[in-house]
Amino acid sequence: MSKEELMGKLAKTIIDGDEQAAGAVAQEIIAAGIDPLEAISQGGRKGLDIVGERFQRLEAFLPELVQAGDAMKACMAVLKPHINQQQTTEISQGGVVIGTVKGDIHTIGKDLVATMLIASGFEVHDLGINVPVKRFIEESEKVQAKVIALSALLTQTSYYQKQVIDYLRDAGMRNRYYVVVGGAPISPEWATEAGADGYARTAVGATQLVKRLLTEGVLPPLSQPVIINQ
Amino acid sequence: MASIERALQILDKAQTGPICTTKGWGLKLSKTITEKLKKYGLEKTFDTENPINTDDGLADRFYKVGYELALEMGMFCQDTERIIKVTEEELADAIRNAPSELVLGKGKDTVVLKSRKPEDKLQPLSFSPMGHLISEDVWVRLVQGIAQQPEIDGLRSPVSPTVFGRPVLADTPYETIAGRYEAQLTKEALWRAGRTGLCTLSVASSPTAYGHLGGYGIPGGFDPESTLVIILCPAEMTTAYTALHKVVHVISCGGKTYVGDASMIGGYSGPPEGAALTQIAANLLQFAVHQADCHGGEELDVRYSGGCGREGQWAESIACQAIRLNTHLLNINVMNQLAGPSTEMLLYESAVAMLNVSTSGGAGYLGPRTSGTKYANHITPLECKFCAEVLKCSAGMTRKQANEIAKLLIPKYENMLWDPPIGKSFRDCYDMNTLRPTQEWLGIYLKIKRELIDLGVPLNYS
Repeated sequence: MSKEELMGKLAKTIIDGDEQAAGAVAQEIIAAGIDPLEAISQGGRKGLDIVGERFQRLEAFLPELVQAGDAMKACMAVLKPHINQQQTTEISQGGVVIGTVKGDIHTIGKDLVATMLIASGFEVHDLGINVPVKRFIEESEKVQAKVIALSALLTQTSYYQKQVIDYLRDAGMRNRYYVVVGGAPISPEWATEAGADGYARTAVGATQLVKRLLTEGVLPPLSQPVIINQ
Repeated sequence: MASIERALQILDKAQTGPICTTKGWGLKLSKTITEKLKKYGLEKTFDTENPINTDDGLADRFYKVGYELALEMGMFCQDTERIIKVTEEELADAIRNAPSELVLGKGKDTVVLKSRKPEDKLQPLSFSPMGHLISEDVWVRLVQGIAQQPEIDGLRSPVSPTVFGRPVLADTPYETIAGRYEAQLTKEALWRAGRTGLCTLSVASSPTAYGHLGGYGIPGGFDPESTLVIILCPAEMTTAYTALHKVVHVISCGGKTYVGDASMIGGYSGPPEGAALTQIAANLLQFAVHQADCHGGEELDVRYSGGCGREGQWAESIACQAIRLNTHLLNINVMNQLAGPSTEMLLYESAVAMLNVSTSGGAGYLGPRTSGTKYANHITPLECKFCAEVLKCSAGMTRKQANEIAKLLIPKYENMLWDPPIGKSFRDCYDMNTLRPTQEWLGIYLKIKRELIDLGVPLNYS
């Protein structure tokens, strides 16, 4: 099978959300001596992009995104050991700790953002719902995350987004993480008031936001949050 | 009649039902919906050209499959990660025993929420607004402004972000105080508006159970007699102890409940057809699991967090008609507008949604959700009045008429759903002393009303 055919095959396993097949094709790619970095960008991420585009057209839904993300993880588990340290740094988009803040049990929006981030190559640590302030920080320390993403669907719970940020500041840790906020009642004004580094209105926007924060090179905390409003 | 005995049975089921992880539940729900849509030929029935369904046969088919989905899936309990399964007998009993009308409010403000059918001539009721964040300094004035609109039949108090100037932190004593505080402010606003008997849909300041326990059924709090307690579930066909706490407390107080949930287009429900199915199933389950007196369904498109696009409107019309054609269950629909006050888009979104609710047989509407409730103080009495007017005057119109109008109105705003106009705040488009809208906002309101009248909506031009 040619390199192009293998890339297409890998992309298809991601689109199909087939974890087992994704791992098997990744093995074939290694056996064929193909650069794993090329396989990730031309095969895996291409498949993820297609699923993302389908989602925007309502031809794919959250479960397909979740399964595509899982398949990508299976593919990466095979490819990653064959990538050298320098290349690992190149492909690593960075770790993101995500969760719905304390007092809030809404999960769908957070799931969607987490899945989109996984699909874009981020290492995502999902803490679930009703997450206490310190839990975000403990997990971020543990996994050496670069970004903390805080979801809230209710105004009264959005205050916990600010509490996480305040805690980081008071503990002298604010410069270690970009903190981004989102959720139905969250506005750019609130992101500014809470002292966040970014806000996005949609899940697709959240991915653009995190990418932008990590690539622009401005260290946290930002004087004004980056706003992705579309 | 709701009972503690039944509540205990449900709590027991939440402790002993089949185990399922949260992620596993979402995937299982998605898989089951996909299979059912395929098996019963309901795939690709979403009609992008006709946002309001006019086919009773299609709605009936959705009902049968939604009923089956409710029985097969049950309701997921987030806290115990177990499934609350419901037998066919329990579901049938719950539907049979649910009320077909509810007396709400007191004295001269008493209204009766009655079950309706599609194209019913009986006017639906209007409850305003839903889920807004209003700062303490304008809270009473705004609520007074809404309550004094004669077309409004019940009040859902907005949320104050602060209590005596302090942030209302969820799950803390601040929230407990906020529940009581909301009751106090609401009474003040209703007294000023001269509508002390108006039904309240409470407690808004209750993200967890604390606000509810602190504000309802206690001395000085919301009175069970004139309050319809709103209990919101975290996702479609999903419950949590937060919701169940409220249920048992309302039963203990002898009160009435509205239990709501949103079906997510693009989420685990999948396409519009799947979201319609989950809303039907969730609707039925709310009566069997939470012993609801009334259901509140909403279709939300997760791509832009709104409900007034073609997909959301179609799914809402199917789900609403399916339940109304096949049961006497009461519902108060919610639809999520995205534009802010003093914009034409807000009124176009609202007009489509109200025509849909009214002609699809909704017993009532709860909203508007101006600006998607995203921006503080971005709600005014005028769009509440507009929604109530369109909702009521369109009773008796046919779905075909409503659909034809929706087809003309949706193109006016659908390109802006991803980036809707924020509009202006209450302060910026109302005179705070007279509680009258600015000429600009009033002009927009009258312009859109004129357009609707010209399209055949029987509104009074004033």
